[in-house]
Amino acid sequence: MNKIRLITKREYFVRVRKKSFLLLSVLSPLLFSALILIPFGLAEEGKKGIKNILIMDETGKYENAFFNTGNYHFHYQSRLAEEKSYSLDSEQLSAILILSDDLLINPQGSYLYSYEEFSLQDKEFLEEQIKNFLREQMLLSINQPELLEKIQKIDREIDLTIVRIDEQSENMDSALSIFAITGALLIYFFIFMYGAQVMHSVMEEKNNRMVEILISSVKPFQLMTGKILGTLLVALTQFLIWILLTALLLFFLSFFLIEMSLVENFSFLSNIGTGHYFNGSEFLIWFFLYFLMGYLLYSSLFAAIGSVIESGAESQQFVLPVTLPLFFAVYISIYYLQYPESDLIFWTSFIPFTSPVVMIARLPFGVPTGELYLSFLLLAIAFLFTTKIAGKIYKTGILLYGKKITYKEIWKWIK
Amino acid sequence: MELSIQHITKRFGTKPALNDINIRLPQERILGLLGPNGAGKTTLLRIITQIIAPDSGEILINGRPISFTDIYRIGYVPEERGLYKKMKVGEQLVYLAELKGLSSREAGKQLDCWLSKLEIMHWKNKKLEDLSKGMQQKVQFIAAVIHKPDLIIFDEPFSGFDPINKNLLKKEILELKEDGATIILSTHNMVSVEELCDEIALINDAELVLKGDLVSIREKYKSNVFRLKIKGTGTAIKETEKYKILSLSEKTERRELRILNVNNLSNNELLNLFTDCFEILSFEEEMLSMNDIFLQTVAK
Repeated sequence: MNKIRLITKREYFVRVRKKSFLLLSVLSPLLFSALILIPFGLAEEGKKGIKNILIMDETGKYENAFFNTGNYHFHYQSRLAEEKSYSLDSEQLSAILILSDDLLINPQGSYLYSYEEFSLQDKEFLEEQIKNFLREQMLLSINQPELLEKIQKIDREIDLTIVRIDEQSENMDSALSIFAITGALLIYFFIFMYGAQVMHSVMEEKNNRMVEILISSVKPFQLMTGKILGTLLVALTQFLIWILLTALLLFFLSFFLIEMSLVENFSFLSNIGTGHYFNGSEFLIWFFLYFLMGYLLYSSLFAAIGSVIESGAESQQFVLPVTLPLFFAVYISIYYLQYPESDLIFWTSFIPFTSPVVMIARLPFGVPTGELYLSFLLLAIAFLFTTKIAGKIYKTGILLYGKKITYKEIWKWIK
Repeated sequence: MELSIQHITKRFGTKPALNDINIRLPQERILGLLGPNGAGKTTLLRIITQIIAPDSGEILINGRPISFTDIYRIGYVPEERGLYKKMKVGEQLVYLAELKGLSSREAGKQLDCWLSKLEIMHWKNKKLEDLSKGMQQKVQFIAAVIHKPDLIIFDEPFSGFDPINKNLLKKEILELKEDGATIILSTHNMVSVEELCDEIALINDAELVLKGDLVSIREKYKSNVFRLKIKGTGTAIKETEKYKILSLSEKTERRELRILNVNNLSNNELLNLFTDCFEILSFEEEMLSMNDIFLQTVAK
């Protein structure tokens, strides 16, 4: 145990002292913060795009035809009035809509003179407002106020509710999808990134012939375990730095730059935690456990790959088959958002090579506890099994220099 | 530490790497492990250091089978040198000493002692990649001996050293032996073998083809040829049934001759045949060098 501790310690300190570690630890929170802030920033920007439209009604019939919305503000000026009846400067106006004729008689009697670009969507919106007004006027003209009221009620109240059909029948929250896909992608990314670090570390020791000195002092399995644990500690340190720095950055940014509007935008996240399916802290615990076990499973395989290659270029033929299940798992997780009841999703959340990613994607939408425990147990068993195989490959591979190793040879070592 | 290699056999696939190797090395002796490239020397060293296991046979340490904890008592400089290039000299030597079971305090103490001994103390806090090849070899040497091992294995220890550092290293190896260490020296440098080794083991094509102490082996391979320098040119030298003249050169007042001791006379008996008629200036037996013995044995 003492040997593993020593190897873990060296591996950890060598990595955290590297400039690349420091750079990645500091730059990533900036990137995370930017990723979180940009959508809200864009939303803020969108608010600045309000269109102020001056309605010049020459007929005097369309005084109540237009209603203000989030993106469109209407101001009225009668052509007959000599004084300006709106409070905007002319620079703030986006367009002037001139209604020169009774549109029921002359449908072409409206003109929009714009100071800025008006999209097809803007045009359709304005036309829809006019059409609605005219419809109401016609209903009133045939003295059918009740019919009008009914139509208005329908317009107000029709709202398509999306309901999930299962025993719980809860509303599906799109924010859960964000958690699912982000969680799955992060697990994939972390397993791949830190697993590859283990591979490179093993390859480096093989290349600089250090390994022969080391395994004349420790067992190959101890060396491999120490490397895997050292890199795991590096990962955990990096997570901690990322979380702390991102939280700190977001706090200051929200405080100084966009004030409290961000907090309002984030309120949807706090509501998620109160839903029936989703428990934020439980999700984080399982995320950590699946990352841990998934990393251990894959990093032992990456260590085995590192032991049979001597250059990064050689790694491709071995890395691809190992990482293919991970790519597949990410694809399935994205697919899950469209077809949550698929059998493929169900079974791949139990297969150990895909479960760390797929189960995390399933988790926000609710997974029965039994399924969760079973999936994790299978993952843990697979970890023990692959570590044993990886250990056998590693033990032989690290001492073979200058020789291209084939799958056939590796199979012999495993047997 | 007494080392006994008993019936060690190892195959890689169908190719035998070692076949029934038996060597006994008493404590405080230096064994020269010789053999052409690919003979199986490195495989044997890896078996002793427990990096790989033999197919059959066993290694005994002081009469008992070697155990995993014995690796703390073994120091190893492999032929393929290897250290962490980006790590500081002091840090990596302490790390390697700790892996060999030393406490970090003891490792630090030993480190300072060896760095001063090999005159590289000022490189302690430099990265290995900043050192010359010779300096790196010294660091590699310290890595093998820092934990005060009882058995030290050097695979080509002198490659990369200049003559001055080669001598320094030889002196250190002899000191380690005097301090009680048992040493295995695998090398192609026959001059070093003659200077340092007490015992020889020669492996060729996975077989142990020659073993024994250096003196006996040289005795075994002696040619019975003697070289004499004598004064006086008046009396003729004649061949007898006791010796055969191989060559004779005459210079003013001095003659040099090589004779074959046909009847295996003792040195004194042989010398007496000449002392009556000539004044002897020098008398020496021609011995085969280790290089000749190596070439002769491998060529057989």
